[in-house]
This record gives sequence, C-alpha cells and structure tokens, in this order.
Amino acid sequence: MSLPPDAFMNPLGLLIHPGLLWTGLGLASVPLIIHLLNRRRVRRRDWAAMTWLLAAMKRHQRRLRLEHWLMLLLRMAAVALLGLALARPVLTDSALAGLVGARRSVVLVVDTSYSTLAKVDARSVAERIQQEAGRLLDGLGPEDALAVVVTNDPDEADDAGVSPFVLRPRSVGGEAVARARQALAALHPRPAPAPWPATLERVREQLALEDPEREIWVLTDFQALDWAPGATDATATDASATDGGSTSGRAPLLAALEDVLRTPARVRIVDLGGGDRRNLTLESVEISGGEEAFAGRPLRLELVVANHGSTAVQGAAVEVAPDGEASRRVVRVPEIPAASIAADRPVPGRQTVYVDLPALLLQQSGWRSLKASVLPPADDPGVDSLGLDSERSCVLHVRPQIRVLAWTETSRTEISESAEDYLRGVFEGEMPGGGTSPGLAPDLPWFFTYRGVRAESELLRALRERGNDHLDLVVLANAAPRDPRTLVELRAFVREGGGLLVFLGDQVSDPAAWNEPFFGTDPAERLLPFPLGAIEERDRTQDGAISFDLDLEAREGAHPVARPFVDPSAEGWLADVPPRIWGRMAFRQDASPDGGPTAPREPTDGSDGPAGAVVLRYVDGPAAIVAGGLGEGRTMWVSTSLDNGWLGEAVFFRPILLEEAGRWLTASRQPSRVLEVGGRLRARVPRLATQVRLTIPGGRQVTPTLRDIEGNELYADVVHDALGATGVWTLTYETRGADGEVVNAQEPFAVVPAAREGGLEPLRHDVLPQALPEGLDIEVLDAVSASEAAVDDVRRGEITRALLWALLALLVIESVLAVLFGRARAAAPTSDTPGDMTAEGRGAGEGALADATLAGKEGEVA
Amino acid sequence: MTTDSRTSLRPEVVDRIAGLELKARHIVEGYVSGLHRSPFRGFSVEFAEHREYVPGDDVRFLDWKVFGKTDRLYIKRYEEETNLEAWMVVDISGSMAYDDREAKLPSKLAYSTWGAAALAWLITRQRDAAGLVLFDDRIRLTLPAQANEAHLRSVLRELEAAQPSGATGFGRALREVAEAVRRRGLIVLFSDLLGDENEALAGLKHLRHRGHEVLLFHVLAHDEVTFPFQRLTRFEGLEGLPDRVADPVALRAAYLEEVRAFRRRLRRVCVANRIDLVEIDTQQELGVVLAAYLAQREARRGERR
Repeated sequence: MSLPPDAFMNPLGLLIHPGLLWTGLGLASVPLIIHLLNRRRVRRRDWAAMTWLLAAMKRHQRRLRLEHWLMLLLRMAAVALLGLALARPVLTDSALAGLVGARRSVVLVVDTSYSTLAKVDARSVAERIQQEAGRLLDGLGPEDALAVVVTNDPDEADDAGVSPFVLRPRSVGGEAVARARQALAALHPRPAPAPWPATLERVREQLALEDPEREIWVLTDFQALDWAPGATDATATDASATDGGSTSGRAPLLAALEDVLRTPARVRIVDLGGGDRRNLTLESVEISGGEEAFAGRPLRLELVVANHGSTAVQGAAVEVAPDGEASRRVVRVPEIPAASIAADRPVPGRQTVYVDLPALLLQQSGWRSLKASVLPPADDPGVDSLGLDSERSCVLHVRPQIRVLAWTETSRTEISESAEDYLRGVFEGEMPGGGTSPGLAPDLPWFFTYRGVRAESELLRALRERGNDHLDLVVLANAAPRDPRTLVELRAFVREGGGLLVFLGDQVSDPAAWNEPFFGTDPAERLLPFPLGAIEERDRTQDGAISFDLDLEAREGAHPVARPFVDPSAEGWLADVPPRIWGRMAFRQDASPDGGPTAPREPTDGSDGPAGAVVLRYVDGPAAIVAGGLGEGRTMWVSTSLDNGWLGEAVFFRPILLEEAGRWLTASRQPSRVLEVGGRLRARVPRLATQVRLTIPGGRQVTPTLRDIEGNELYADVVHDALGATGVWTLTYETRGADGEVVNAQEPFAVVPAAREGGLEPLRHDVLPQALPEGLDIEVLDAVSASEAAVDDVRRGEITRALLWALLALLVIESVLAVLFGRARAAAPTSDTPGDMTAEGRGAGEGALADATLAGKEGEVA
Repeated sequence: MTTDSRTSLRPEVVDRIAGLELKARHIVEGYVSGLHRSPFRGFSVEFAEHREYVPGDDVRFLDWKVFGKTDRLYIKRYEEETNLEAWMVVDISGSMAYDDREAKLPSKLAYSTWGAAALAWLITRQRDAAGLVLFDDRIRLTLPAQANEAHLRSVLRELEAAQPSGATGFGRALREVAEAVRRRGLIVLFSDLLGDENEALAGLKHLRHRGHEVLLFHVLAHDEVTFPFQRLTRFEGLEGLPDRVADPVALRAAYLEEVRAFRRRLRRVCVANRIDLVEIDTQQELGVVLAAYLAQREARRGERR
C-alpha cells in the first residue's frame, strides 16, 4: 500500500487509529520526564558512612547505571507499545501477516442499474457481473469477512430501485459466502440509474473497524456519465446537478470515493461493460413549440434521439403509438451523428425528429398517453444494445375549447367597434370587419367558445351555474360589478382555477370602484394585484397629440403574455402599427394602505403569484398590464379599454393580447406529467377526492400520500416518491358532482428512464485514479482475475494481539528485573528495615560478643 | 530515650546497670586492693564471701567446716584481687556527629558519651579508677584514671562538653592512648570506626598488644545500618569525604553489603585479638544494651571460675 498524503499522521500508512500511536509515543516520554523531574528534586543529606557508600557505588556504579537505563527504557517501551497496540497496526508482508492470522474483509458492490441490461456479444453486462462476482467469492476463505451492497434496491415492493441496498451485511465464514451467492443469483437490474455516492456511503457503513484488510470490489459497467470526475449524482435534483451537485465544491462521487479510500481501504473497480457499447436513446418527446394540445386539433411532436455509439447511425426510425389506437406513426430518422468526448465525458450525437399527430387521433379532450420508441436500423440492430431507454411514454393533456364569458360596456367616446365585437372576433374567430383569426382553419375547431352578457345579473347567474356549464375565462370590459354577490362568485371562480381578464374604460371613472372591491384590504382576497390611479386621457383629435406608448423594448425574461410583443421578431410588424393608447387608469406605485406591494414586480421567470407581476409598462413608467392570482386561478388587468374608446389603432396588438391572455389565464397548472424513474410524482386533486390510488405499469395499485396545501381549501397534493417502473402510471380518484353523483377521474403520468443512463461509454481507466489525491489505493481493472494474484500478495494482518502479548511480556520482564535490581525492596523493605536491622544489629552484636567472649576464653585457655 | 544530651549520666541508663559490675576479664595491674585479679601472687589474698554451692562449682573451694556445722554446701570465695584502671576512650571525630533527625535519635557522639558516663559511674562506684580520653585524629583530652566522686564529676563534665571535630585518625590516636595508659587496664572504646579501616583495626591490635583489655562499643546510627532512604539524595560527606548523588533504593543492597562486610572483618579482628565487641545502632536503648552486655560478661566470668 502506498502512503496517503496524511502520512505524517499515519507514518506506517497501516494504522487503524493512527492518532493513538502518537498519543502512545507521547505518553512514552512520561517515564523519562518523571526521571528528569526526580533528578531535579534531589534531597541533601550529611552522611558519615561515606566510605561504605563510596565503596558500594564504586563497585556497582556501572551495573546500577545499566539497570537504571534498562528499566527506564523498558517502561518507555511498555507505554509506547501500548500506544502502538491501541493504534492497531497492520502488517502488509504476506508472510509475516500469515503469522498473525491475516484475513480479508471484502465489500462487494454490484451495479444493478438498468444500463447493466445492455447486451454486448449476446451477453448482458449483468450476466458478466454475476460471473465475476462468483469468481471473487471463490477466492474468499473461511476466515474472511464479506458484505454485499447493490446500487439499486432489488425489492420492488419497498423501493423503486433508486436507492442502494445492503444485500448481505458484513459477516464472516463460508456460510456468509454461500448466502451471498444465493442473493446474487436472484438479482436483476432495476430501471433506475445507479446512485454511486449513496452506494459508497452504504459501503462505508459496512467497513468494520476490526477489519485491517479492507477491499472494496465494485463490479460495474463503468459508465463515463456516472464515473467521470465531474459526474453529477444520477439521483440528484436538477438544481444540484447543474452546479456539480456538491456543496463542498467537489463532485459527490469523488468525495464519497475519497471518504471510503481514506477509511482506509483498497478500491478495485472492475469494468465489465464490454468493448463495443453502441446504444440509441430516445431522450425526449415533447409537443413542439411548448404548445398545449386541444381536442380536435392536430399536434406536432418533437422527438430527440441520441446516439451513444462511436459511429454515426443511419436508417433508424421512431415510432409513435397513442394508447388505445391501432395506428402507429413511424418516421425515419435522418443520420444520427456519432458521440464525441468532451472533457472526459461523452457527448452523444443527437437528431431531432418531428411527428405530426392528426386531429383524428385527438378528438376527445382529457388525458392521453402515447408511447414512442426508437427503432434501430434493420440491418444493424447492434447499434442499440439497451432496450429500456429506447422507449418513452408521453402524456398529453388534450384540452377542450376554452369557454369565455364576457360582460362588456361600450365606451362613451364614439367608437367604431364595440368591445364585444373584438371579443367575438378573437374568441369566435370572426375578426371585426370580416376575415378570420390567423390560427383559424375552416375545418378545425377554434381554441375558444364565446358567450357575452349585457348585465351584471347575467354575469352573476352564469358564474353561479359554472358547475354545470363549464367556464374557463371571465372577461370584464369597461364594466365593474357593483353587486357584492358577483364579487364573491368571481373570487370563488378564480380560486377554483378560473381566469379573469379585466379591461378598464371610461364607464368606471372612479378608481375606487375597482380598488375597493378588487384590491381591498385583505391580500388573501385580492383579485387586483395593484391599486389603480386616476383616469388620464389625451385628446387624439388635436394635431401632434402624443399617446401613452407601451414600452415594447425587446428583453429577456418577459412575461409569457408579453413575449409576442417584446420578441425581437415582433419588433418590425409592431413598429409599423404600434398600439395608440389615449386614455388609461394606470396602476399606482405608491405604498398601499395595507402595506402591500409598492411597485409592481418585474417578471423574471414568466411566473406570477398573488403579489402580482408586471406584464407590460408604459414608456413613461407606470405598469400598463399586470397579472395576479388567487387560489388556483390567475387574473390579468389591462389599464386601458378594449374598444377604441381609449385604445386607438391596435390592429395586431389587441387580438394577439386577447388570445395570449386567454390561453395563459386558462392554461393548465398541473405539474409535469413526464417523470424520471426514481423521481417524485406530484399532482393536485380536489381536497374531497376519495379512493385516491396510483396504478403502476403492470396493474399493481399503491396508495399515494395526500398532503394539504396551506391556504388552499379546495385542493390537496398527491405525492408518491421514488417512482420505480417506466411506463404510464395512472392516478385515479373519485369526486362528487354538483348533483351528488360520483365522478371518476383518471390522470396518467409517464415515467421515463433517466436519459443519461443510456450513455454506455466507459470512462478511461486512468481518469478516475488521477482525479483523486495521490496515495489512495484505487485501480480500475478489466476483470477480477487481473487482481487475484495481487490479492494474495497483499494479505494483511492486524498485529494488535501480538503487540498486547509483547506488552504483557515486557511488563513481566520489567517486574522480574525490578525485583532483581532491588526495586522490590524499595516497595517492601524486608531485612534492611530499621526494625529488622535492629534485630540484626543486636543479633550481630550478640554474635560478635559471643565470638569475642569465646575468643577471650580460648585465649585464656591457651 | 531522649535526645537531651546536656546530662551525660542518663538516669534511665544508670537504673539499668545499677545492680551490675564491670570487672576486668583479664589480669589488670591495680594499685590498691580491688575486685580484679592481680598478676602479683600473695598480694591481697583474702577471704571474700560464702556462696551456696551450685553444681559445676569447683569442689576444692567447698567450705567443709560450714558443711559440718550446717550440713549445707557453701563455696568459699577468696581471690587475689586488685583495683581496676578503666579508660573511657571516646571518638569525637566529625562522623560521630551524625544523627538520625527524622527518627529523633541521638547522635553517635551523644550515645557514646552517655555510655562512657554510665560505665565511668559504674567503675567509680565499685571503687575502681576511671579515666577519660577524647580523640579524633589525635588525643584531645586526657583525664587520668582516679577512683573518687570528684574525679567522676570531672569525667562527666568533660563528656558533656565534648563536641565533634576533625577527621578520625585511629592510627595516631590509639597509639597515643596506648602510650598514655601505662598500666594494663580496661580500655572501653566508643567509636563508629569510620575512617581508615586498616588504621582502626591496627590500633585495636596495638592496644591489645600492650596488654590492655579492650572493650569496643561500635556505635553506628540507625540510618547507617539500614540505609532506609527512598528518594534520590545528594550524600554530603563528613570529614572531608566527597559528595555523591545516588539512588538509595538502587544502592541499598550494595551499601548494606559493604556494612556487613566491614562488620565481618571487624568481628574477625576482635575474635582474633580477644576484644569484646558490642555493635550498637543508636535506635537501641543504651541502658538495655549495657545491662545485657554487663550481665553477659558477668555470667561468663562466673563460668570461668
């Protein structure tokens, strides 16, 4: 094993707790420090028997010094050895490691993402992975530890397969290997991409502290899209994917890999994706131009086909088949360019194909689903090795005609056309003065149906009957409701999702007539997003009169309704016939009494909300058209009249504004119905809906989660996480109609595979190790066998137990030596204690006395 | 035992030895009649006392007359006896100043002066003459041997006034003692014998060579015979010996071995030269030591008869 960059902390590179080694070495100096401190604290003592002391020292000085240093070294070594043992060192030499009972600890990581279904040479990658996994298990001994982690949860009942799963937790012995074999044999790829960062996190959980020899074997197809150093998390949200998906500034994959490698562990990635990986992916199916589908009107679909192969593909086709229809539309795909490599990441070749769906296929309004697929060339089916991403479901909301109800009053000024004339012209297709609307084709139904009322009472009645007679849009032109009941019904209508379009005019000269009922004091009840100011009029009959001109400068981020006017392409024709506005009741920009918005917010993303947004401004500053919302519905206010009382010539402006506003105000607010596998399904259903169910492709039903929406008493959110199967998911629920009858609703959702997963191109094997800091033990191999010999060579063993035995031996030796060197007497003086010496002294004295007496006696005898 | 050394004649010591005698084991040259055997025949041969016969007594000394009268066996005790001239020779060198402060034991000098004073008192009381010699590397004081109370007071006074000084010089000092004491008598030597070992042993032999009976009280401090220290210590030598830093724990065994070896050599010399050796450490109670020695000596004297 080569040394990691933090070799200073872990000088051997093979310590499980390197910090404890340094602690132990630090503590080893304690005996030395105690020794030095003791030397500083020498007692002084007058000593008479210096002769004996000097003699003793002279005779034993060398031995004593030797003993002293030996004991000191032994004690320091004991503490250091304890630190080393706690740091849990590991031997790498295979021969030595064998002596201390080395064993392997393997975490096997199996890629079960759907890209492993790809077939190369008649065998899928998944089959190769199974085979290599078996080979790896063959090499494990009865003492080795094994854990198996798969990238995608195999249990269809619990998880959509978007999360990693610990197939076999870490366990030791032959039984563990046998069970892992069984579990691996039952594995099958899931339709989700592999969440590698999350998988590596699970791998780290399986790395036991007591395992010195940690090997992580990753069996994968090594897709460049997943493994490239800058790869984003396949399961991350779009927002995080765009910025690299990492809060720390590093790609999540690299960060997760580095974390695992630093545990420490060896990582061997086995690339089993095969050599030639050609694949066609149907990347997207959308309505061309972002339009909506209307019943009875033809539709153009835009399909993007991606070629992940290294050669261009000719002769492919796309097929679109609406569900429930026998007819299929097959369109030949022009040559799809070959994939290229940019910054180590493959970029597929793409080709866009348009498929026209005839009106005949879309006669009925409501939700329609269809299935699109890419067909490889008949003479070279090998260009498409993965089938799952070649099909894509699509869900269309086919709208019925938009029903418009208008209450108009004519301006006092002499006019040529009434407001109703204009409304009829646009919403019924009969242009004032003859002619037809530009989008109107004589053999196709128009987008709108129109009904006008002459009095407020009629409006009120129509609003009250909206439950039976469907209503999408209410237009008020120069007419302000005065009956509070009308206001209540209008609010309810908008809150339920209806659209309200209001044109002003001279019939309502007092701004308070609008502000009080529509702006009011309660922001939660507000249909008018900004208060209106006083009427301003200019006399168009005077020579050189200047109208209130609109600011139609081209700009980015314009409101959707304003886009036709501020689009650079519109500049020419609109400049020829600019709208002339001679009277207005502009939106006030001073502070509102209730602390509401002081200045209309410039739209930046085309969205709006209860706070309101400015659609268009006058050149002199005030907002000309504003948009707001209440509940599920939207409102739009135009500060001038619809007829030519205040709005003069506006040949193009007026009809385009009406049509765009009409579509925008009534557009569906449902979230996207095309979801990626592993994503979250979210839909809005009536709050009182019952029997809410989700039908998964294949027929199984699940109950999604229902969540209340704050401040919305009419609707609730339906949420289902981790969509696991591609195809059409159907949300069904029951509601009660106005007459109490049960209405069954069905809303389909298309769940599509992650387009990126179709990119099978492998990453070059040296790229990933080079992207990681030096010293980390990672390799990318072509097969497990390529590393089998190396595995035997690097068997490693933890020597903690041996060190602890050595420590024990050291302590015993120290104790024995301490006894031998007289330390034991220091602890428990025996014959040399004063008391004992007294006895001894007395005994010696008596003995000597006896001897002397005896000697005297002998002498006398002699 | 108290450490108060102002009075050298310690009551507790005197109490212990009051009933005992210190009689010469060897022949001494007295100048008046006394308790001790004289080398001169016919001088002061007289009856002393009767004592009840005990088995083992020499039947030649049975008083048959008394046996005839009383039918009991008595031994007649009469000897040629003379008085004793005993010299208290006390080492006052610097090393004798060592005391065991922690244990509050007296210094070796104090201990020695108490012993000398007690024996001087005992000798004077038994009407023998007691002299005093104080020495370090040479004789510092000599009080001739006399057997009267006034002289005893002088001896005691000098003992009380004795101060440790100078290095030990046994060779010269003991030779001077041998020269100063002309008549064969009892030399009672109190010393720690720390100094030149050969000189000390040669001095002892010299005293014996001059015919003196030598009684050696080898006085060592309790610390010196136990070496009980635990902590690293700088031992500062007395009498001009160098200082040494040593780990007492590590050195204890070696040191004690040196002490034992010295004592063995000393015993060997004492046995060879018929010198009474009393090894004392200052923790021992002086009265007990003296009483034990005197009683033992008395018993041996009885055996010899």
